[in-house]
Formats: sequence, structure tokens, C-alpha cells
Amino acid sequence: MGLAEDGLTLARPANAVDFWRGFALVTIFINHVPGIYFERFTHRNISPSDSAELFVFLAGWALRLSMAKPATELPAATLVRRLTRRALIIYAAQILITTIALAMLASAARALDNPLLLEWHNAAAVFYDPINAHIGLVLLTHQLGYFDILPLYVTLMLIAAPAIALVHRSAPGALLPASLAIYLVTLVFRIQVPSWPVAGHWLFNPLAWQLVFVLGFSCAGSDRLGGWARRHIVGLRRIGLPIVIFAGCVVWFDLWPDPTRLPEPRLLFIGQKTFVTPIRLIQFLSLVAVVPAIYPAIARWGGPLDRFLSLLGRNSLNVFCVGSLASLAAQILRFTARGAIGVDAAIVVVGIVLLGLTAWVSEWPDRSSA
Amino acid sequence: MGFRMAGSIFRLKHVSGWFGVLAVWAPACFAQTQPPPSPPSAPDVPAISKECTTPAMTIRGDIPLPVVAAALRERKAVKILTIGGSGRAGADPQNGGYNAVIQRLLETSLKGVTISIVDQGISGELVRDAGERIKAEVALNPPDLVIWQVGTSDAFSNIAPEEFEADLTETVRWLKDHNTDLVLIGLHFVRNLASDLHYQAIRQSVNRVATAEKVLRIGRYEAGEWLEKSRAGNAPADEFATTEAGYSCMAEYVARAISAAAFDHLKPAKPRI
Repeated sequence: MGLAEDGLTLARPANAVDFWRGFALVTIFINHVPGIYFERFTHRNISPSDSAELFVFLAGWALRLSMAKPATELPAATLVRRLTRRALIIYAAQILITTIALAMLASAARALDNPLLLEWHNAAAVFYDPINAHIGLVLLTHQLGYFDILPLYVTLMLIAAPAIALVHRSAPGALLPASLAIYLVTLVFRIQVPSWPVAGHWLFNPLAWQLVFVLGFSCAGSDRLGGWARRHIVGLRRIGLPIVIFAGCVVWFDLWPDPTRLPEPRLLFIGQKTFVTPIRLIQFLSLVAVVPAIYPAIARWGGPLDRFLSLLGRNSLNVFCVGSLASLAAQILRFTARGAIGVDAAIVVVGIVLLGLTAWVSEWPDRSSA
Repeated sequence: MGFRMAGSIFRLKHVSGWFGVLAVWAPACFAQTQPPPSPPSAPDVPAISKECTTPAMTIRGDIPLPVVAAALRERKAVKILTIGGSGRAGADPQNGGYNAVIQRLLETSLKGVTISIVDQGISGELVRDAGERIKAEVALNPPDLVIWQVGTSDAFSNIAPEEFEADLTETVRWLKDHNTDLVLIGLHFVRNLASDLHYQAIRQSVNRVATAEKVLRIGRYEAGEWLEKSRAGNAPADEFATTEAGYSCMAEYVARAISAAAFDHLKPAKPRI
């Protein structure tokens, strides 16, 4: 998932893309510890969208950057093979962290003599219905709570990325309209991807979220949408800033309209994460237009912060995996310790240090060979 | 270690004696249960199986489910939204789990009525997030009844009881305002959490909201507590088996409660022989 892992130069200097990826990873870690004191300081408290959109958007961005290199002159079959290999690495990571998470829940249940921990975060099926649940885990149709972003990313890399790459090469103008069409059809007809064996659906609907991925891919380029956005960035910020402020007020003061009074098709008008509905998407794109304007100041005055978050962003797959497990450990710890703010502070500090250590170790071989 | 882990489901089928233990589970399962003075008058209310009931088992019928009752009167399909936990947890997972058991029981007792259950449970979801999702689901696919397993995740996540109670109350009132019936399923009983102040505070919050808002609550905590008291002095029970078996009985209690409340009738439980 990291640009480094996608083949770009390792340990490249801090930059905006890596910085915001690192930012997303830290906020995902905090938001994945529900109830923690410091979640009130993450941007989802003033934003309909959250770090998930940023994470997927920048994943699409990274795909485009990896294709912008000379290596993209490779034959199409080779390109698809590379993307598939990348998807399989992410898939392996998902299976690994899910297995460890299940072991953590089981260990905690044993240690605390509390069977309810076996049912936490959708783990119950693995213990009550192990035959079907294990098939579901391998097929990604059974996902643990807070371990459901990587299945989306695997799907996007395995199916969407090769399609995006090939369409981008052959008919670049068709990419965004096709993606938008799939998105709208999915919302209008409420097409969902079912989970199994537990009844329900994927929390992150890949048919809808692919648009965020494609938007990231398109905005990363200097042609078409990306080029247009760069040329009109001042105007986009003038439009985006009021949207960001207005949406922030809606979330902060809970001014959401009654969803039953909205017109049909309602998914086009309500805020919903599964379908990354237009309200979330428009606000997120506004955020993307407005917030990066502060990066030059961060780079100038916040050097250590810039370097640290960029370090995380360069190694995002490893950091994400460790962060997911750390957030689960933090949840178990908070339950055990009945955490006060001191416990929550320790969790955030230790967790962020752990993320940094993971990224640092990930770049160790490269530093050693330099 | 008081319970068994993965794979025990197969062995559980051969555990002798836990059906007997469950016989004492039932009386406490309805937290608002009081001995009803009214005679039976709802022949379609499903009976509780022998292993899940006792002679004292009754269901209070003064908290009606008017929307479900209207749906039944018109013999149309009754649409149920389950939220807040895994519907496949426990209770015959090979055949669809807890929700499927509820559906089968209701369709058996309410002949001619199609019961559809939409499971939108997200395990680990907090009340504040579930509340928003419930509203969206009601707007997109209006149910007649919402069955909401509530509280355990908030208790585990150390959510402040007053914050939890406010969020729960807000959603309960919203559902009432939007012509949707509600059944709350309270927290589980686990021996080690009996003295956990935060867990107990969340549990009391659920009770208070259900009472204040006149919402049907199925109190599985009280059921487990009853069980615990009944086995005082005995060897420690298998908590995992108890939890799993509890789901089976809970599905029966939910089905029965829906039927009873929807008909607005009282009927003492009769063991299914």
C-alpha cells in the first residue's frame, strides 16, 4: 500500500501525500478505539467523512503515481500481474491480522474468563460456526469489526486496479464516467455486497467506494481531472471552504435532517458510510481541496511532525496492520483497566510510538544497504 | 477456565445436563415480568420449549407492539430489522442462527404471515453509531419492528452511562415518532461482570430507558443472574455453553414476546411437550 512498496524510491523525502497518509493512519488508529477520550479530537467530529475516505483516495493516488513511472511502459499483462501480486500481499496481510485478532480475543476471553469477548467485533461466528466462518474469512465475506478496510482494498486492487489501469491506457476519458455510473447505479438500486456466513453486508461497499479510489487515481495525474483541479485550485478552495464549514456545523451541532423526509432515492441525500454517499463524498472532496493548503506551513514550521507522519505514510501497509492490532489491544486494555484519561493517554502515546517503530523497522533494510 | 473455546459447539450437543440448567434461566428472562392476572386469550402466541421454561414463566402484555399488530391484522408481511449484534451468534448457527430461529418460530405461530428479518447488526457498534444507522435504515427500508441488542459494546468501551442513556433515549423516541415498534435486548450476564460498576451502570441505563419510554425489554442479564443463583454451591458451570444455550432460549423469548405484545394479550407459558 505504501508508495515505497509500490516501487517508488524508498525513504524519499517527506511530502504531502505521505504526510496525509500518515495522518490518516494515526486517526484511524485512534478512531478504532471507540470511546477513547482522544477520539473527540479527530476530524470526524466536524466532518461527515472520516479517515477511511482519505485512506482509499490516497491509495488510488498511489496507484497513479506508480503508473506514472517508466515501468508503465510494460506490457499490459505484466502490469496486471504486478497489480495482482500487490493485491495478494494485501490479502495475505488481511488474513494474518485477522488471525492474530481472533487469537487476541480468544486469549482475552480465557484470561478474563469472559465468553462475551468471543462475540466482540463479529468474532462470534468463528467460535460458534467455525466451518462456515473459516470459509468466509478466506473469501473475505466474513470480516471482523474494524478489520474491514483491507478487504475493500484487496477488492479494489484485485479487480478495480487492473481495470482502471487498462482503461486509463486505452480510453482515459472513459474512466471517471464509468466509475461514476457504477456508483450511481449502486446507490439508486441499493446494490450491496453480502457478507457470509453472518447475514448482512460489507461495511465498505466496494461498488460505491471504487469511486473514491478512482477519484484519487484521477486527481493524482496532471491531465484531465487532476490537471483541471490544479489549474482551478483557488476557485475550488473558494467553493470548498464554505462546504467544509457548513458540514462541520451540521456534524458538530447535529443538524442532520430527518432522513425519512428526504426525497427518493434517499441514498443520494443521506450521509452513509457503507455507500460513501454524495454528502460524504462532496464534503470529502472539499476537504481535499482546502486542507492541503496548510501543508507548506507544516513542512516549513513542523519539520519533525512532517517527517514522522511521512515516515508512517511511506510504509502504510505495515503501519496499518500494526495499528489495527494495536487498536484492538487498546480496546481490550480499556475494558480491563476501565480506563481513565491517563490510560487513554498512554494508549495514544504508546500506539503512535509503535506505529513509528513499525515504519522505522520497515525501512531498516533500505537504510542498512545505503 | 470456566468455559470452552472454539470448536466446542460440536461437543456441546452432547453435554448432558445443561438443558436442566436452562430450566431456571427462563423466569428471569423478562425483566418486566410480573404474574399476570389475565386469562390466556392469544392462542397463536408460541409456546416456550420445555428446556427454556418453568411454570412461573409469563410474558407481560401491557407493552404492545401496535405497528406489528396492525401488520398482522392486515395479514401482510411483517418486516423486522435486527441491529446491534451478530444475528448468527449462538442458537443453531448451521441453520441461520438466532434470527432464523425467531423467524421460524414466528412463521409457525403466525400462520399466513410472512416474516422477513433484515439483519444489519454490526458487532461492537456503539449506541450512538447504531442510532444513526437505525434512522437511515428506517428511511431506506422501513421496518415494522426493530430488535436492538444494546449496551454490551458501550459497556466494554467505557462509554459514560449518561451519554449512553441520552443516545439510547433519543433513538427510542425517534423510532416512536416514526411509527416503528421496538424490542430492546439487554446486556448479557457474565459472572465476572456482576461486580463491574460500569457494566452495571450501563445495564441500569437500559432498564431505565425501557421503563421510562415503555419499551419492551428482554432482560437476558436477569436470566443469567437467576441461573447463577440457582447453581450456588455447585461446581462452576460452563459459561460458554450457557451463553450459547441462552441464545436459543432468547430467540424463543423474542418470538413469544413479539406475538404476545403484538396481540396485546397475556398468556402463561406452556412447556412444549
